Amino acid sequence: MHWSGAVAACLAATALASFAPRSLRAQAAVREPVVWRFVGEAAASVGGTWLEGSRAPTVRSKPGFLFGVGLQRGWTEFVAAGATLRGGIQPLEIRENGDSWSGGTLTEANFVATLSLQSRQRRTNRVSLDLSGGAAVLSGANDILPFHDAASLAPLAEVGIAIRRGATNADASRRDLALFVRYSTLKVQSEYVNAVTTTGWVGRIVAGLRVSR
Amino acid sequence: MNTNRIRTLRAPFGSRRAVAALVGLIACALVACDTPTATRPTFAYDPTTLSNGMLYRWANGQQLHVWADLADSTRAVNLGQSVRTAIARWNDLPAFAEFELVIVSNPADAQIIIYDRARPMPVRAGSCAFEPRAAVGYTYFCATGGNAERLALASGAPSRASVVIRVDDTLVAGQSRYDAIVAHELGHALGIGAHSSVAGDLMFGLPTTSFPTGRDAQTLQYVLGAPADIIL
Repeated sequence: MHWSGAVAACLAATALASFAPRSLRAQAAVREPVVWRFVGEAAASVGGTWLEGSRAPTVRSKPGFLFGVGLQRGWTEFVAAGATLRGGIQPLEIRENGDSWSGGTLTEANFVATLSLQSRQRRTNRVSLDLSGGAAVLSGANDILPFHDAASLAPLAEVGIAIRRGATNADASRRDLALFVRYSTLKVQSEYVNAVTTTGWVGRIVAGLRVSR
Repeated sequence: MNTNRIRTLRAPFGSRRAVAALVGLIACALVACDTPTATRPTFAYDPTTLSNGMLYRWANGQQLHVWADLADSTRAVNLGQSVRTAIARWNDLPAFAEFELVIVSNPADAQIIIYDRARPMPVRAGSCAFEPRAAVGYTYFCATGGNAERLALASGAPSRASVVIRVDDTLVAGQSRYDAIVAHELGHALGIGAHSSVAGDLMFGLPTTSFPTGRDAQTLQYVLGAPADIIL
């Protein structure tokens, strides 16, 4: 990862645009109890270039599935934090010199902690910005790079958005449904004696449905 | 699971700002994060010196079916053991699932056929001359255009075979040398159309090991990613 000046500027601009103080009306104080919720999610994952090079195959994921369960605690009406354990599979495709062939199936388990920042309520739908960090365990597809000799634990970071409908963080008696989409990126490190490999980040788009109660 | 704690709350942002933050953070991630890369090595020795400069190999991403004639089990060396050993060692080398060697029981299903000189040749030669002479090991295929010919079984029935390997156990001293010869010939069948000049390599002209060395592996990695003149 290259933390160049451009990246720093990008992050600063994003922070300024997204988290600058709003009007006093928007920051009106409310009082709500704190609740725990069970969370279940089902999602499809798309994309993911695991390896590319000028003189090597490109290893990509085909669409796959992820399922997860977790716990979430509503700290305030607008802030929740939780942890989720997920498992999923993604078929892999290898391309080189105009040919393509199967790379088998990648099996993944990951564990993430998530901070969910919810927007002001508008009618019954609310929007939340989800920031997650954790680690993924990748297995299967061990006869292909970068999974051959790869580190077993890959750091994982995610940013996503969800449109929620139903209960607020403070209301434990109602089910909360959310459609979400997130950008998930994990760091892959592999060394192989007969192919020069470099460490890098693999990004995927994950979209699905989350239910909490 | 309620608690009775009370918090004073503030709405952190509106939905439009949430979308802006999402887009911004993804853009930052895309700028900051490089995809892992790989580069195939160049060859340790030119893999085309025995094939008139033509690079040949199998199409990537397939199981390669191997059949060995094991009918004569009374001999001092065991062809089945040599084949299983060689297959296991070559199967360790693909870095991108380019091939997987698998033993099959029916010669008609095999793409690679292995037999010992003591047994009759299980397939008929193609349109090219089959000239093993007094070689301890001999790998044969016949290319017309950009593809290898399919070889008919000795009975005349069609088969999937395009490569045939003949070994001669009367010219080797013991099982380990026999293992080395079979593994060496299987290296030719996978696309290494050359002999290494380094005595320790499996693809040296007179191999003394049945393990592909790093140089053998490097050369095979190159072959598997190079544009082929002939597809087996």
